[in-house]
Amino acid sequence: MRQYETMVIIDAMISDDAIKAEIETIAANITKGNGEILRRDDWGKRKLAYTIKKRQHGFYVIFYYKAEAATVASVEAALKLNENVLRWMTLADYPMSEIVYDQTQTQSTEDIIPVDAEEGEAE
Amino acid sequence: MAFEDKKQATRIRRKKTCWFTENNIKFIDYKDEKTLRRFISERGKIIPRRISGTSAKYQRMLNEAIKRARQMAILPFVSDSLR
Repeated sequence: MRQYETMVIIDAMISDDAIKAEIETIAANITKGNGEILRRDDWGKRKLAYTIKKRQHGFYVIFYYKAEAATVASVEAALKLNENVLRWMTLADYPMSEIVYDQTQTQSTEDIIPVDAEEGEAE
Repeated sequence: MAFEDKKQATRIRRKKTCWFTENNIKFIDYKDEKTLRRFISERGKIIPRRISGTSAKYQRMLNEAIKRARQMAILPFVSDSLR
């Protein structure tokens, strides 16, 4: 068992409930494979430094967990197939930090206008 | 003579110090945007050691952290803000 850290960027254009559901699914995938979630950090909606899949904003979530390598592989496989996930990164044995994204620090979140899934797709 | 004096004066350089050593930071996290932003130029490039004065050990760590941050769209690969 090693400690892992997975950062996931979820499409911020989908509804808040859908985002919440996505996070729950990922968390369930970790615990299903006998993984133990140590901490979860929600950075919330954040402007991306560059566009990914034509999206300007993403919802950042970081999972800190202990799991077997096979569990991590299955979690990643699920992320790969998920179209609402813009990007993710898993690091092994990375020191757990206290850094929590400060929303007021670099940019205001006011310019993030929540758009419903249908409108987002219509573009 | 006056010209030579001036030339001499401009040559005096301050000793650069490593920011991480000074602040007793042992580990550079890719999630720490505030710190990483200090070490990239307006264009988004990593500032070389010869300019920033960072020690080799921390420059290596910084490089890795910045590159990871770029992958996760925390920092830009190129910044087009200059226009």
